[in-house]
Amino acid sequence: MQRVITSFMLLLVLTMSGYAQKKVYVGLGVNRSSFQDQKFSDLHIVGNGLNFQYGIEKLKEKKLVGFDLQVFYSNETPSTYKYSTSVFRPVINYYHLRKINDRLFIGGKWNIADIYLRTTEGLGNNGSYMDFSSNLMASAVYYFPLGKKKLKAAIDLGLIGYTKSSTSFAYKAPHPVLVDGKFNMQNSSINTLMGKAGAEFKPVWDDIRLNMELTYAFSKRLEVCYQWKLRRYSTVKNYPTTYGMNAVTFRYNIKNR
Amino acid sequence: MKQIRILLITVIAAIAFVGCEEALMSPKPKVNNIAVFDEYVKLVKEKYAMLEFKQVDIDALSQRLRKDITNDMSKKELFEKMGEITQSLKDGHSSLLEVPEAQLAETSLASQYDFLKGYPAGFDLETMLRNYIGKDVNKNVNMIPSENGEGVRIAWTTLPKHDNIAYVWVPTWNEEISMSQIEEIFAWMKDKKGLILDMRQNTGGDPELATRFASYFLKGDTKTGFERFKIGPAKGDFKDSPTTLKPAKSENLFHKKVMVLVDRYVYSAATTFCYSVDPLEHVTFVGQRTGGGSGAVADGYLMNGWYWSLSVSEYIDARGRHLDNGFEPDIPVVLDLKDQTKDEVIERAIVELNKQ
Repeated sequence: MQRVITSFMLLLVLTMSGYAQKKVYVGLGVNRSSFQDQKFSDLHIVGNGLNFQYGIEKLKEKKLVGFDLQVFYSNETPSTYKYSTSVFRPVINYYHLRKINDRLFIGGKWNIADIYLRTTEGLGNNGSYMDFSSNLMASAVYYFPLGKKKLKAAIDLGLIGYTKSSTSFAYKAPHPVLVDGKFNMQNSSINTLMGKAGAEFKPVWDDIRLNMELTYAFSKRLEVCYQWKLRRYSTVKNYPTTYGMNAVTFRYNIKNR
Repeated sequence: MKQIRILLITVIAAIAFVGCEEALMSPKPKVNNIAVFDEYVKLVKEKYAMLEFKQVDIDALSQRLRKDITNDMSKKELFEKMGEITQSLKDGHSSLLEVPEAQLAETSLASQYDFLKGYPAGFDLETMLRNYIGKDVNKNVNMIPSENGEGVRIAWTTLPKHDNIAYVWVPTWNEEISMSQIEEIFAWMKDKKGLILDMRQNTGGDPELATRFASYFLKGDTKTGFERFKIGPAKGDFKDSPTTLKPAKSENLFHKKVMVLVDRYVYSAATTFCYSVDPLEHVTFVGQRTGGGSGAVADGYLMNGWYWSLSVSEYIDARGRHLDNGFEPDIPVVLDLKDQTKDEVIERAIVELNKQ
């Protein structure tokens, strides 16, 4: 998977640089995140943080193509005790949508890498939770006209994902490794984020991923973007893990032609 | 004006969606004494991997205790009741603490099983320094100090009057020993006729490091037993992971006689080391019964912030022994603490190594 992603990133850089870049932006914003893992607790662990975005987007006559890097950081605590969890989540996306009409674009997004890392104060083996996934998503973008300007609304639904989560029902090892009886101290791939051991393909019905995004340009340079990201999956039946993130990002278009 | 309206729409959308994912989550639990008790019972019942081996009837125990749980009882009273569950597991890896271990104070509420209780000391540092590894008696001691500089990560030397016997002391697996350092130690001991590997006082640390070290003693692929993991909430939700270890890829593997010295402190990752080398014919255990602690540990917080840890697997070795309560060494030797002129365990190991 690492090789696939690296090769694609190189290809992407070459491809995107081939375009007359329509829009290149950077953004900074704030977020609110929440988390519940019913394997361990029913508490809702909630927090606030900061986010960063960098992206390239090309709107052509018949297609909308883009690449973005988003990094989220937040600090979460439950309401009933003081120990906090820091959450770090870098996400890399590439999307390619076909124009259906002047307002609607439909296509796909490759969520190349979605890395979700949690570190909880005071815990030992379960103090760190890691999740890596690479997902294919169905995407739609709709431009609502607002006078001379437009409000861009986007939605992505995960179809299938290649995922690896660090924690099983109880122990800190990927669930498929334990279910297959393959745990071995000498297999370092088990505990590495992108190692093959314990990675699996999960379809939408086993792993719900939903992204929504609203973007409005105040001017040629300045935009505001609101995002909502949701993920819900189960390692063990009836013990789902759910996490979400709401983020508002102010973007500055370095290039916008 | 229109732009302000758009900004408002975005803000309203943001507010509307904030916490939307929380609607999909199960409701926030009510936090009270009964709920905290029930949560802990559920965790032990679903996650603890050795209820059967430890002969704990968690249903009967929790039903008996729950009758006494009220929402107006004090924090201390509740903790004592819940601590009875922890103690019933007789497992040094399973604990219930008012605060995480690193923040424990004398006044903190804590329930941890004392696996050392009732066992005599199997190691005396004073005797070791005076007769074997102190500067006055041995100038050849190599040592990697612990990170804080106050202890020993690993030490290796020959013993006085026994130049051909290597002695390696590993008091912990909790501090990193690099691959190159391991190589250096095994390269040094290559020409020795035998090894005394002193594992006494080693309460564990990193099981991967312990396994890496053990792999230098293997001659070929070695079946060491299996680890039985709890993989679901039901009573029978277990899966065995059989273990076959491969020798280290090194020119410095050690296949001569090895005496592993053990005592009751040998626990957790130190047990991992022991079961990894136990099937080897050239390895013999000398000393006292070990501590065990063979299970992998999971931990977390209860809804009121109390810390819990539980063994969520158990290890059954190649001989079919459940290792969580420790094992008897091949050659039992008790240390005479009154006689500080010699360490009986080391002396017995020397005798064994000098046998043809």
